[in-house]
Order: sequence, then structure tokens, then C-alpha cells
Amino acid sequence: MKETNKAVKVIRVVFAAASACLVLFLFLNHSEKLDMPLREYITANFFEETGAQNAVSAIYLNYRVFDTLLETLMLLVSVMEVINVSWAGKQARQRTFETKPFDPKDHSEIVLRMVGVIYPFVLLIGLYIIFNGHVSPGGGFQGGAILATALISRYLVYPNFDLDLDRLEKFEKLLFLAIAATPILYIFMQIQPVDTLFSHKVYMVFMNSLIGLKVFAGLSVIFYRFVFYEGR
Amino acid sequence: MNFIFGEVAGILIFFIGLCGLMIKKSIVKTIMALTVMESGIILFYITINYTPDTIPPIGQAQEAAFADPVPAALMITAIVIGIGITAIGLTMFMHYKQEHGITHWTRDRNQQGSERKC
Amino acid sequence: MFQTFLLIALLVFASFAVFSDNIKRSVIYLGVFSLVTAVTYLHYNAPDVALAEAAIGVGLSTVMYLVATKKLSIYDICYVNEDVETFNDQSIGEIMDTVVRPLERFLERTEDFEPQLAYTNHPIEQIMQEDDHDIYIHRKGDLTYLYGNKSDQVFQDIVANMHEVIRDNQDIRVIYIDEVTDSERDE
Repeated sequence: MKETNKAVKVIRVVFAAASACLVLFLFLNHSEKLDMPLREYITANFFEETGAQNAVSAIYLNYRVFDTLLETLMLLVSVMEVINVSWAGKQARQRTFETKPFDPKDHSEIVLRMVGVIYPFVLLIGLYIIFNGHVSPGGGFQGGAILATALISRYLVYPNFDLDLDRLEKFEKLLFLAIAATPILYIFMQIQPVDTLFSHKVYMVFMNSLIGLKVFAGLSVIFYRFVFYEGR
Repeated sequence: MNFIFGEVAGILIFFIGLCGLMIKKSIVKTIMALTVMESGIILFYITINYTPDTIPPIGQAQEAAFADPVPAALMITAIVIGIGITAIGLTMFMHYKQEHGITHWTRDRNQQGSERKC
Repeated sequence: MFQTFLLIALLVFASFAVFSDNIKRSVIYLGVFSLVTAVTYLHYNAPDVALAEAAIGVGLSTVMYLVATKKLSIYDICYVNEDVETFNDQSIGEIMDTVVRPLERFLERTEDFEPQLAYTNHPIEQIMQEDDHDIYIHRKGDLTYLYGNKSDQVFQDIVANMHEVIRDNQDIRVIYIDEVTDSERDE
């Protein structure tokens, strides 16, 4: 029994190594460098066309906005999947929130004090990254993830489930509708009050804050549902 | 000297992840191997059009050329989808653990001990 | 040069994270791997991706892995030696090669359980009443006592491979807790 297991393991390792060698051989000998017309097209005049100084933001908010739509849809689907799986147990519906009073003796003194100091700065850098996504590195996804990290550090000192997750999830669905509607109206149907650089910038900041809030809501729902399901 | 560069490292990381996916029996390790494979693919895409004397694609056009912004924009969405996949995998792992007590893919002699208290 | 260093570090940490047998260690290696990946993206002129990887890969997913593996099967070992005055790093280092590392290796290889060791110098009767560990290793002079339950499969494995687990040549006595209590109850 054990010998066959070992033999199968060796065969698998050899298979992986052989396929790695094959792919490396093909890549090193038979790959060719293509021209990059897309890069030249985008980097030539993205500022005049979209009003963003960050070319990556210009791509995922203007040139290839379908990516963003379907990606936020994927995040929404994964949130729904996490909620459905963690509600699958029978006794899960009769859950009760334990609201025990906050006792500082339960937690480490160092973590408590340091999170208290760091917390506003994490929120600040998250909001900064969201609102300056079109002129500097950053954007909705990164800022939303940093805001969710701030919420996790709040959980570390104050492990309580007083967040209204149902309302947060409804809020996320509404945000997804807004994210889908805004580019359709503004970019595809060209319903623009004025077609200037300033209105493009307003559109960028608006979309970045919508995406940031949506990613923040989705990741916090995932994390809190996760922790709650585990602690049951 | 420069026999290792970005694409080669990406391919090797992908196959390290694949190897771990095949030989590891623990479910959590399998999810970790998936994450490592995804990192390899992202590294491959980022480095595939890299030329050394470029600058990040931010700001107005200057004397140096911009790096390619298209794979970067694609890979940001890939990273966010990756955290969704990890969350779903870990949730299903915890569900199996809670409902059936399974933490490994195979159930051989060594696994009889998992009926005990945890 | 810097690029070569980063890529080799990536390969090394990916191998550590995937092929390590201890799950907690491999979570930490995965976090380090994500951090080096973020620096690599920054080196390759993609600061947006580096920011996303640093926020998501290092922060969120490490915490999620830690939460998910918190309730994984842990094998709880208590090492008792009443002769030691205070347990510090030096006295743990003395038994590191003979007891601790072989025991961890053995558990990782056979069971995929997570070993967790506790050290103490309190008297063993007090500990057995107050705490609930899976196995006690009690060292008294030249003698080593192993306390455990007979119904425990892992403990049976450890007893069967006793001389592989505890390396220095000492007298080892095995005591089954549940049998002892049963016989006392009979009397």
C-alpha cells in the first residue's frame, strides 16, 4: 500500500518536472515577440481622451470597462456563494449573537494600543488611494481592500458581530447596479452634460469611489461571515 | 548570468504550484498551491513585455517610454478574483470539516485518528 | 542583479510554501511569498498591481488562512520536567534535538496533525487535573514517562516508534491513563 503511494507520488513529481521542462523549452526556443500597437495607442494620448493621468485607471475605467463590470460581478457571485455555503447547516438559522461586554483584559495590551493609533491612518490611506486613483497608483480595488484591512484590524481588538451584514450585502448589490449603470450611461450612450476634461475627471473619481465601496463591502461581508461561521 | 528572468520564473512557479496540487493531500495545502499557481501566471503576464528602460505609466509623456499598462490593468482584476476564489475554497473546506470531519482528500489508515475530538 | 535576487527568492519561498509539511509555517511562507511578489511587480514597473497584491495577498488572505486553520486538528503535547527551575530558550534548546524536533517530524510525516508543544515545570499531578492535553512527556531523572490514552490512535503510533521519537537512550515507561483510572475504579 505504502509503496504504491510513494510510486504514484514520484510519478506525479516527474510529470510536473517534465511538463515544466517542455513548456520552458517551447517558450525559450519558439516564442516570438509581437509588436505592441495597443500599448502605443493607449500611451500616446490617454490623458486627452480620458482625463486620467494613470494609464491603468484609464484602461479599466474607460477603454476596457467591461473588465471592471464582470470583475465586480464575479466578486458579488463569490460573496453570495460564501453566504450560501455558510448558511447551509440546519442549526445556522437559529444563531444568536453573543454580545459580551468589552473587556480589555482579554486582549494583548500592545495590539490594543497600536491598533488604536494605526486605525485612523489606515482609513485615511484607503480613502486617499481611492480618491487619487486617477492621478497616482491606486484605484478602487486597492483602496477597498485597504479599507477592509482596517475593518479586520478592528475585529482583532473588538471581536464582536454587531455589523449588520444583511444591510451591507443589500448595499453591495445596489452599488453593483450603480457601477453597471454609470459607464453605460456615460461612455456607451454618451449622455454627458459637458464633454470636457473636468467632467471626465469627475466620472473617474465617482467610479473609483463606487468600486472602492463595493470591494470594501464585499470583502468585509466575506471576512465577517467567515469568522462568524468558524466561531459557531 | 541572466539565465533567469521574469517569464521563466513565472513558468517555474506555476509548475511548483501544480506539483504541490498533485502530491499534497491536505485541502488547505491544495488551496495554497492554487494561489501559488495564480501568482505564477500573474508574474508571467506582468513581465512578458518588460524592457529595462521604461517608467511606470503615470503622468504625462516624458523622455522615457511607458511600460505596458494593458497587462497591469488585466492583472488587477485577476488578483481581486483570486481572493474571491480563495474565500470560496476556504469556506467549503470549513463546511466539509464541520459537517463530515474531512480535512484531507484521501482517507487512509492514518486518517482514522480524525474521529477524535478536535 | 536585484532582479535575479528577487526571482530566486520567489522560487525559494514558493517551494517552502508548497512543500512544507506544517500548515501554520506554510501560511507564513505564503505571506512572505506575496510580499516578495509585490516588490517584484514594483520592480517590473507595475505599481498598481504591486499595491493590490500588497493589500490583498499579504493582508487579507493571510488573515483568512489563519482564521480557517485555527480549528484544524491540533495534537497537544505537554512536556513536564520538574527539575528545571525556569523554562527558558536554553533549556528548550537542550531537548530540541532529542525530543522536540523528532516528535514534530514524526507527527508531520504520519498524521498531518499540527503538533503543539507546551513546557512546564509544575508537578505532573496538578497539570493532569487542571489541563487537558493529549500526551504528557514526564521526565524524572533518567526515567521518561509517557502518559496517554489507549484509545488514541496517534498515541499508539508514538509508542510503537518510541525510540525513533525520543533519541537519547533512556528508560521509557508508557502509562495509559484510561486503564489506570479504570483499574482504580474497580478497586
